[in-house]
Amino acid sequence: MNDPDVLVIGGGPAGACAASTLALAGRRALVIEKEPGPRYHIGESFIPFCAYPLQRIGFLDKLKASRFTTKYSVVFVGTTGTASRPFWFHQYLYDGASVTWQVLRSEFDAMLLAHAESLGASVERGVEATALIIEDGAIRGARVRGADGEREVRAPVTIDCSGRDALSHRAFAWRDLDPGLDRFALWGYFEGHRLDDGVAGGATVVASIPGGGWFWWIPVTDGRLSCGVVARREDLFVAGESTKQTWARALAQQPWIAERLSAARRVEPLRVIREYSYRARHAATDGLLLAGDAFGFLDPIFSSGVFLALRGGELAAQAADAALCDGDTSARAFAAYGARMSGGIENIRRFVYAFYDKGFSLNQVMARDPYARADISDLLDGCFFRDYEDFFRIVADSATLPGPLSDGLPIERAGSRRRDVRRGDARRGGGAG
Amino acid sequence: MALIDLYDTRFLAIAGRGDGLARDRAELLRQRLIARLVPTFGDDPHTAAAPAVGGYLERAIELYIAGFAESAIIEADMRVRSLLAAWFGARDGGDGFAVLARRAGFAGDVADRLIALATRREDIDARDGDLAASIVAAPTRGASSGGLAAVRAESPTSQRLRWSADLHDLLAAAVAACAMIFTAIAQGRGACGSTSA
Repeated sequence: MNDPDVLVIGGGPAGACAASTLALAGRRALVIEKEPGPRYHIGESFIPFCAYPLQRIGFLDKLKASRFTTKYSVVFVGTTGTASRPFWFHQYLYDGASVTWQVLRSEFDAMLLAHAESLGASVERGVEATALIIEDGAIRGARVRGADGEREVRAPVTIDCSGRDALSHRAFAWRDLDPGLDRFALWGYFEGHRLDDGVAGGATVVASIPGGGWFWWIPVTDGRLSCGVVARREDLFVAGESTKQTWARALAQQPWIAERLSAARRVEPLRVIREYSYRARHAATDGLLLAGDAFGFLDPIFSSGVFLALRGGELAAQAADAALCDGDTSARAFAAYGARMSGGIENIRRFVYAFYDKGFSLNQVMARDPYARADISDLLDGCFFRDYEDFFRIVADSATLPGPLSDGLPIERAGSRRRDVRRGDARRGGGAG
Repeated sequence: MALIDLYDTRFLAIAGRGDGLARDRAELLRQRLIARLVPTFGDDPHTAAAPAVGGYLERAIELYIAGFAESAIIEADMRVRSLLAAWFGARDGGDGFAVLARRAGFAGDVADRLIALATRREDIDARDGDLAASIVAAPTRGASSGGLAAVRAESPTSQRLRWSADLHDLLAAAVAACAMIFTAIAQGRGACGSTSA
């Protein structure tokens, strides 16, 4: 497909959900994905609200039939190893979405992209976007490169879902880093770990360590556990230390995790990544929308990434569809999309900041306000797009909350920086999509 | 069974801390839940049956297993009554519980079981009212003492046995009803439609 209605750059959750939504709306969507096949990706834990966009695109039954681990709850463990009462999603969310999943992203992403294809979206794998096409200040598609060489794909709307190394970021330098959320993650995969019995065994566990870091505990598929530690660089690493030594030292700080891993064996090498939260200063420009990690990345403590990608992809696709209906694909048409996404992300971002604040205590907040437990559960469920001002007023008594990172609103005529696009592309050699 | 695993994890642990009777009650309720939920919702925790068991009627189930039958009746009835009233909203707000229960469109005997549950709640309220009235009114009628025995022919023990006799089935029906209402609300339907619960 050479001239789609919408070009989607990237075939991860945001891109696949956008393409599915567009296909269901009767739009010709073309997804270009630079990887030829399934690829490893972190971000294995879902939150309940993932079910809603997946249901709307008709994917939920495929997920139900999958072998992925079922997740019923989240448990918080203190630095001494004491576990909280579980936050059971079904205590607060009264529909089928109250039970969610822990997935292998390589399999899930491939399933979701194949689903978009089954709905009528075109998917080209092993094809990468190398540059945006800019005409009169508007994005009109992208240059792409695959096994057959390089070509132009022109479209009235492009949705950039190309992840952290987003093409639009390299083109326009819109990314605002979140200085309060600069963390590193060190993680591995294990077997032979000790799980709780029954449905409690599928829980995500967030276990704190002294100094403000935390472990994640995510039982993924086939008896395998994803377990990692997140902390500031200075709290996690010691000069001259190997990653194995760093892991052992971190593990010794969290008795709950250490005890349950005592008989486990690591089945893959340890990995390290910088988890520096960011958001694009602009969610869109004329002819272009950003979704998923291309728009923003937030500290993974509350497993919000996949949901924000799915919902962002869906909302971006709806905005694109409406703009095509109205015959106006300018930045103005995407203003509501940017405001909505930024507002939702700000809610969970403030909660992340509170979690890292030494003065903040979930128990104290819940003791002060009878509705706080429901607010917390809503945030853990993924209900980001509602008013939490009363809740955060109470939280602000014990934690320092940030102001908005940026407004995320569209910008008109971003293409005035066309020369930057070309330079950036030449310097980095392309590679998005 | 995935859906029943949820019940086992959440409630059998409570029963295990109690006596043999608590375990018996937990097992009775478990069997009725299987009979009432699985034909309608399958063995699927990704349905509204999960929050109905584990969330909305969680406290009623805990009270029943722990042996607090009257409290379980009050809790379950209040929950079902509130849900029905909220679902039908102002449109039918003036109707009685039995009318709403029948209008909900539950198939089988679910509406009858909800009405039986509501009747027990009303009996509990009546007994409490009688108790209060007898204390206040008996001396003015010339009785030397007040108290429950002065005004009720049925003993409290008999009442408790009668109210708790098949409570496991009433609770299971209440769970099924709530799950069906949650499903109907999520699907934007005004009634539950045909079910086999």
